[in-house]
Amino acid sequence: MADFLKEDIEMLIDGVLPWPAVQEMMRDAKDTDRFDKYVEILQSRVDFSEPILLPLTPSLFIVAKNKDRVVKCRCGHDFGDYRINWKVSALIYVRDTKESIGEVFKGREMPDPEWCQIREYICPGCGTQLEVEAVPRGCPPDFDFLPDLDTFYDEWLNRPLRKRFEYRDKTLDEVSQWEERTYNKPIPVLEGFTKQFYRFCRKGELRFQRCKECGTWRHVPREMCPECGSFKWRWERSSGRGTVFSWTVAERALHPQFADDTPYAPTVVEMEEGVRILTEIVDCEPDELEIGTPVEVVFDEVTNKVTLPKFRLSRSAIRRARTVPVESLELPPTIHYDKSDRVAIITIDRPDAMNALTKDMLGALDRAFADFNDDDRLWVAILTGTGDRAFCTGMDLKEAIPLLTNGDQLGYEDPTKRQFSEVYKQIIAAINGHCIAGGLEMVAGTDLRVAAENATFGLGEVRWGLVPAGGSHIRIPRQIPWVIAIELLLTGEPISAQRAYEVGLVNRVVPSSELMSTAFDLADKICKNGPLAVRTSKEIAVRALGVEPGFVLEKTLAKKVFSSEDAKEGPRAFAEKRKPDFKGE
Amino acid sequence: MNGEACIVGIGETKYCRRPGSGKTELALQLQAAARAINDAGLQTSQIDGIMPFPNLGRAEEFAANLGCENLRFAATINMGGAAPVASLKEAAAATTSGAADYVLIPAGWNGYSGSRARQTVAKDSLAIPGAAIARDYYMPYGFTAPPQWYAVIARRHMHEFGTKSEHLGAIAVAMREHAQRNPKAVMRGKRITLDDYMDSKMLCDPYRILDCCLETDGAAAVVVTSAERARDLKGKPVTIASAAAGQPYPADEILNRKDLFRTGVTIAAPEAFGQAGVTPRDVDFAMIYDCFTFEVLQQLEECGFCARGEGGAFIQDVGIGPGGDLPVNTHGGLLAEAHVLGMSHIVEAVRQLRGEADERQVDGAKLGIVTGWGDFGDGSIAVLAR
Ligand SMILES: [Zn+2]
Ligand SMILES: [Zn+2]
Repeated sequence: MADFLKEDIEMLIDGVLPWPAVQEMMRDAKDTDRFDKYVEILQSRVDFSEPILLPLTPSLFIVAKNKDRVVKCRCGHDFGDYRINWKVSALIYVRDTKESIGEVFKGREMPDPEWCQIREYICPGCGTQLEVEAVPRGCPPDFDFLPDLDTFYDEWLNRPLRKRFEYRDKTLDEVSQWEERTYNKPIPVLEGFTKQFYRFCRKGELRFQRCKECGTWRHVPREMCPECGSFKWRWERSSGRGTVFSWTVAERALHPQFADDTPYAPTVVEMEEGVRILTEIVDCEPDELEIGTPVEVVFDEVTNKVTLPKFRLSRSAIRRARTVPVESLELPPTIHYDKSDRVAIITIDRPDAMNALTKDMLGALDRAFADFNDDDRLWVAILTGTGDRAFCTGMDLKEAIPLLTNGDQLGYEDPTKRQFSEVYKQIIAAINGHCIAGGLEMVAGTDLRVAAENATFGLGEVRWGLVPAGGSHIRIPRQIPWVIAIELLLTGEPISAQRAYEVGLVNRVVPSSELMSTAFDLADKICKNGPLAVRTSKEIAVRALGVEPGFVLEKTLAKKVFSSEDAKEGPRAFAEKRKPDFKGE
Repeated sequence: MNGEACIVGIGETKYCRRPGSGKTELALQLQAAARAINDAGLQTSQIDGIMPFPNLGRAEEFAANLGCENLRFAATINMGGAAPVASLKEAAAATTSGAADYVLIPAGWNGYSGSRARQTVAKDSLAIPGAAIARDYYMPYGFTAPPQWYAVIARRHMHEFGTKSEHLGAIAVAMREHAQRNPKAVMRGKRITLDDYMDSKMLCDPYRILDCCLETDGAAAVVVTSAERARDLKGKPVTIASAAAGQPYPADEILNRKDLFRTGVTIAAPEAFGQAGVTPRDVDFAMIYDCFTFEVLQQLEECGFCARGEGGAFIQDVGIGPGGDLPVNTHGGLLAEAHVLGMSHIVEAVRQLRGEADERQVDGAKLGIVTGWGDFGDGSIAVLAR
């Protein structure tokens, strides 16, 4: 084991040791002596006298201060216990705009301020920039290095430190004590039920008590169900959606701590579950409030312990308010066609029948999409379903099976065409629930797809002796991996929204409360682009797939199946709620 | 009840705002109490029952000051502003059952000069109705005070029944008109018109400043005894024909009520009218606890003077001001006389039935009602008769 001169180490620290010597030093096993020399040199260079236990960075050191171990800047500024991330008590300069990031990064190098921010950590004592980190927005300060000092001194230096310290990141303990430093409004006292209610809020969940016996929701929390007397209940997640029930506008504060907030509007929201909650509508002037306006929950972390549920005007509701229904097409009441600026919203509204389509509805959908295609003011369509159970479960079997098995082609006479074959404007599917059989066939003809968390996707036709002849055989294997596509086609088993996302069948999975606003966001993004370019782009991509021969093949072969005995047995079994007895003919 | 009970004594202090009463709240109440006892022709030592207002003194304190050596009955009804009228019911029960001979019901405060209600709330969040519920689910959003609580209910009424600001304004104007005929009223000499009302500042929309009760210093008290004992006293007794109290459901939370307009008085009114064997049509006047204008309208509806939702039209058509078919709060009420926690409503009702209301006397007043309202809508009502 080589010994190094103090001068060598000093040169090493200053970065002036010649490269061959550095290499030599790196090759050799480290020696305790080297560490001691190193520390000795650093000690002589800092503006404090407490002994350095370990250097962290060129400017930061863990030092022994009385009985504590603290992080100190070379200027002597004390950042406190070394187990607390020193960054939380540094000065922080954040670059999160194009301008400020542009000061340090030029041109192509520049990170996107949408997802990245640059934080410079600066010593409050001497102004030295101690550390820089580029992280996603909102990411907590990275705790770069929490050294296990005791083990290092025990096992490497063989001279245990006098007092042992619990080896644990204590940053959160420290931060949690900052609570209420700036927030002086009344906050709930976190005890009992209230503690539980607000703990869910902290996690971003609005939950109310719901009786296990009679299913009644209640707020505020109580021990017993006042409806049935049951003591059994659970915290059940609310949809987070509600409507404005009433409000008052405080023009003068009747509590000193709200004096700066006037005018403000304590608002009563009636949740979809039926309970009412006193709250605040954020980003909304009091004079914009209206009874019945749809709102959705957001969470406001007011202190480190308390998160208050607040609400905002529901984005899709704002949109819906500007939406004009199209009545000229004389559509059945189960198909809605609305226009909002450049966006068409086409809705299947038959939730009692899981949004299954009749022949009449299918025709109405085609007429609505034809109108969309022809209307130059419309650029993007959103296709969705009413309710939160089903998007579309395909054809109404009661009606469709006799038609199909009798050779009715349900409107697609040209064997080279399927749904949306000739729509080169963008179609966004907002899939609010089960998307099964014809529902998925339809979605396979759309471009962008947003799914609610509870959505499922499947092609169940083979279970009833049928095949999905709406283009799925051609479209699905071109959109997702072969094995997944074939699994969907052959097993008839549905997959979850999450799985659909993983295999690339949908673009986004979002809570159902955010489904429409996400779809509108996507639509707005597309509408920013050149409409001719977007449309041509889609046309090229779709036509280059060359699906027409496949469609013809599908139609030809499917006829064989539809005219088979099995195709009669399957639906019969379905209607009789029994297992089908297939013969293979 | 074994026979009926009567109000035999009434007493009041001066009602004022600036510069304040200059007395403690106990001293104010004792002064009113002494006057009521004197009015009844009794000695203070004869009082053997006391029903203090919630949080405004203990029976022991009153007894020790007044020299009530034989105190046998002490109780407080926890219904905020509904307490005085609800206490009539208990006092009647006590005096007719023999639990006490003469029950004193005092109330009074330095509502103007003392520590204001809103300061109390800021210091002690459990002091407001609903206690922990309000603290944990209302106050974080600045939903801290009665005009705010009731304003959201008023807005619903406006939404559901088309009640208008003008209807509420008519109530404010009528109370002021009554006050012009009451020398004790703080708002005497300060008439308002509907335009003044519409122009007055919003406090908590839809409530304007002129929708809200006054904040004043002052106290009032009454003495209750059995009809039998009342016969031996010097004055004209006023009979408590019936009295009842009730609570909304749930009483500790104001928002999650299946029926938002069903309050304590909704339950209490049919009981009171039924027991007295009269209907709202029979009464000559109504003293309605008027913390805010809308609460007058709501109580008139819930008492059955008109159907729910028709309060606005009722007030305009029937008239509740001086000379109206149903004079309401001939003293000016909390809105225009003074805020004496509802006790001055009882005192005024007694005056009317004794025929001692001077220039505001309702001709031939034989029967009247008086209501109380407190906390999140607790209610009480008494039918009083000459
Ligand atoms: Zn420093
Ligand atoms: Zn239950």
